[in-house]
Amino acid sequence: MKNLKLIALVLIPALFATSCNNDDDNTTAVNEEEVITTVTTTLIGGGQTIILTSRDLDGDGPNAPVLTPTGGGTLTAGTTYTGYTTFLNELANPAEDITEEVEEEGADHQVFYQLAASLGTVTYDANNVDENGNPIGLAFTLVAGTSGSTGTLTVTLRHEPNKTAANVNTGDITNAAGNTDAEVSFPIVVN
Amino acid sequence: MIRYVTLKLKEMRFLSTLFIFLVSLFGYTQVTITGVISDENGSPLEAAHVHIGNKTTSTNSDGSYILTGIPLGQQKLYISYIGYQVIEETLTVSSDLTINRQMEIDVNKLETVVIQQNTNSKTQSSNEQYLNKEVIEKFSNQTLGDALKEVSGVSILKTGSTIVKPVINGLHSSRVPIINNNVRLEDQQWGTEHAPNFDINSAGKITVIKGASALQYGGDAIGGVVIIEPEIVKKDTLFGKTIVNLASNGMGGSLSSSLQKGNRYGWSWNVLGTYKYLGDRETPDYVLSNSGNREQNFSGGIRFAKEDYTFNAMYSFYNAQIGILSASHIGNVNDLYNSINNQQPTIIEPFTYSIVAPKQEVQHHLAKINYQQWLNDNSSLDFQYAFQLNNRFEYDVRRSSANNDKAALDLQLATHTFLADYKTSIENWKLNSGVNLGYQNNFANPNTGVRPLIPSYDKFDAGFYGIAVYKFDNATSLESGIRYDFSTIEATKYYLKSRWAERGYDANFSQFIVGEESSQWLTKPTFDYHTISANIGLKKLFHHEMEWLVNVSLASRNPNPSELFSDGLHHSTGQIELGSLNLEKEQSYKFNTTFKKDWKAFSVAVNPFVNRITNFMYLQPIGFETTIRGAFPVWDYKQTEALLTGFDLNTKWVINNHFSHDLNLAYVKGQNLSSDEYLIDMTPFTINNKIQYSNESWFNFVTSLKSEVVFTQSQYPNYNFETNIIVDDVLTPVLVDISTPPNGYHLLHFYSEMTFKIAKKNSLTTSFSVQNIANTTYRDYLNRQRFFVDEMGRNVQIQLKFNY
Repeated sequence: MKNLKLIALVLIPALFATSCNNDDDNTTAVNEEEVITTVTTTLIGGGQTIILTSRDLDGDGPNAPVLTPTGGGTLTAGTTYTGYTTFLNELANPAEDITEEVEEEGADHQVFYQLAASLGTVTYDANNVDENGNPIGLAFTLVAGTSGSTGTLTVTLRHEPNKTAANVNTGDITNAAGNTDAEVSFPIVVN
Repeated sequence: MIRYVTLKLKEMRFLSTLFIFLVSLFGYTQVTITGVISDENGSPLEAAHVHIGNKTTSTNSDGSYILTGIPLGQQKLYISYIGYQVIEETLTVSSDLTINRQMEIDVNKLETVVIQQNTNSKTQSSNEQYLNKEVIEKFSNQTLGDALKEVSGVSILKTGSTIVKPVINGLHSSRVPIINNNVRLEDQQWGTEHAPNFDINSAGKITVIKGASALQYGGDAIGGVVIIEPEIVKKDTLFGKTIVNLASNGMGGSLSSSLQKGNRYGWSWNVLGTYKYLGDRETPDYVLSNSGNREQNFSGGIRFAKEDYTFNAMYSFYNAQIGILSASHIGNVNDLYNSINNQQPTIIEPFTYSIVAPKQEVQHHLAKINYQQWLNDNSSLDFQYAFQLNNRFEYDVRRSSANNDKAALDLQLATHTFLADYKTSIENWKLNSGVNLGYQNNFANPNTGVRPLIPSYDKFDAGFYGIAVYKFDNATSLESGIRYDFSTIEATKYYLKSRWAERGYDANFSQFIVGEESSQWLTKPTFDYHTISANIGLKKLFHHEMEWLVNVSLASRNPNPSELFSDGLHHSTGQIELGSLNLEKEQSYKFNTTFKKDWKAFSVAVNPFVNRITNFMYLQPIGFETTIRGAFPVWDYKQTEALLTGFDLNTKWVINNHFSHDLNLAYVKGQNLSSDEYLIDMTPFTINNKIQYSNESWFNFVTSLKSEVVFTQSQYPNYNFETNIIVDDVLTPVLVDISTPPNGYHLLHFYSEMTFKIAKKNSLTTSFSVQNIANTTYRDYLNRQRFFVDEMGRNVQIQLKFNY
């Protein structure tokens, strides 16, 4: 009998003491890191500056990214554009420039550009390379294609791509593997 | 208050029993009963259990026993021995007696591998199957799930090669509670890629109940219950065991060592340590990069027993590091589409032991104390308090390498449970009632920099149950039970305002909003649940070794935290999963019957079932969401009317003294009645055949060849979706085939063992086994990584087991 009482004595307070120990009300909002909210590709050439932006302020939330300008970018046939792409996290205050991080960890990142041949061709800027001499792809040259073409320019930021796989260093994403950190398809028109 | 009153009643009862006992002790003379227990051939049986009145003993090597201090009057005699029919009689004791008894073989218990057991059951009328120590030991370097696959009707749900969950009659995770050492395992079991946090080496016996009839453990076992019990040695002895395993696939193995001091009365104790270390597994064609795993486990317990009470305390620690296949970490739907279509993983590295992100690190602590008091010969009272602490860290491949050491999911789950259980038997009745109380706190660490899949919450549970078994005669018994549970959960969760609006929560749940922080609502969703579960069953033994069990059960399960609150991208699957605050509890009505028939050399058991589930919760794709990372399919937790039907069949044929054959097959069909489709992820039809040769005279040689046939699942819902991906630089619509199950397969497995006696008490068992002998390439429908890679290829294993 003594044992029974002893056990009850030990157990019941233990249970209640622990039940009341509720100190988790201090849960704070997650400060979302590593979010890219904004991808901007700027094309400068032929007296034009075309700024293509995709902005998604709710991250993985239900709202789709907003593309500007509405209707997409209009390129001039045959023109050579100097282009560069930037990545921002506008949820942070002030906005965090992720482009720097991509550049610093260049060996682990590469930006790819995909567009139909009729819209134009993209070549990487030979100066924008990582420590191994492989392209990072933030800076590039775009030569616009033939007049009357419409389609999309897809900008993809890959994390840990296999930069030595076939054709990856010329900007072909086919064998790049890795994970997609950002992927945006901007509508394009060539006049 | 109520508990105190009942305690007092029990105390009075106990005191009166004690009084009668003391009176009988001093008021009457005592006698000694001796005798010899023999087997069916008349040879003496050693270690048979003899119980007269409140005295127990075991027979010596010559089958003899002696029991002293037996009071005069009517006394119950009870003799048992594994594999033999129990002898139960009532004696009138007036002077010293000699009682010799010959035991008869219980034919139902002759199956060696998986036995349908009759005594010591968890329930009286439901289909129970168990794995004994010998079978469990074969899986020493694998998992609980792998071992349970030996039971017909149990299949496995895998994530890669190392995360294995049991599936009972098509259901798993929250629908299959795992009871370890009388404690319900609380280890974030809702996750399909969360393996039970449990060291298989610490199990002495594992019972599978295919239904919700073990009401003392909870009323929510819609699929079934897995009950794990430690080995308890009630013999005054000290023994040890060490198992060494080496596996060719993964180039590693495990070491598990235990020491156990047994005792009927007084102190006994046990300790166990397990260490596992395996590197990358391989398919027939390539290395499964980052599929290694490690485990470091410890458990220990003490037990103190007297005639009328037993005290137990135990602690166990499970610590695992599990690599998640590198190629399964995908980005958007493009990557998923490419994986499915290429049928080749994107990342194949040379073999390594190292584990990098993505990976899981899990720790599970379990501590419990248990006290059992025998109030009299037929009644006992049990109290138990258990504390579980589960830490789960999931590391993801991060964009910034500076963050790779920081978990993307960091959950700490603390669970306290208290239970009181009263058992008694009065004439033909056996009664069991009790109370469970539980408090649980989940803490989702916000410092991960990633919105957690499930939020922090507090949960309180209280349950009451009563179970009665009435034995009409030796051949017929009726069991019935009822249970009531109350549960309340309060979560603290930040919802993106856009998500809150998209879910339409403002209409019904605006009262949960307690604050806001820029683009997020701070909410405290609170839900109360009242559930009733019940079951009734009949067990009937016929002449000619035939047995019939029938059981009807009602089980209720509340939505789990992931079903209620999931919100965001599930990294290993590349899909956005959304919980729903609108979910209601799910209820199952299961009908389950078993026919067993034994002939001299052949036995058969067939177990058909029907499981009708209302408000069945499942994930269904509802479309797409585009983010800056591209498009992701959205899977929403829905509820439907479901019907699961199927059967399991076992046969055993003892061909002659050396050869035997085992067959088991399992079929389940899952229907979504509301949408007239099949249910997703149902186990395909499976047939296992095993032929075994054994020869005792040759160092207990046993060898077997097993064939495992898994058919292509043809009953599946079509959840394929169309999306735009970039093909040849141009956005092109494609169909992403996530629904079509992989082809069926046929595997062959070999096993052999021999046991050598080294000294009187020491033995060495060596075994050599080969899994997937033909090195077959296959994929399994119930593996979440089937979109990315093939299953493991051939695996040659050597096991050494020392008993000392």
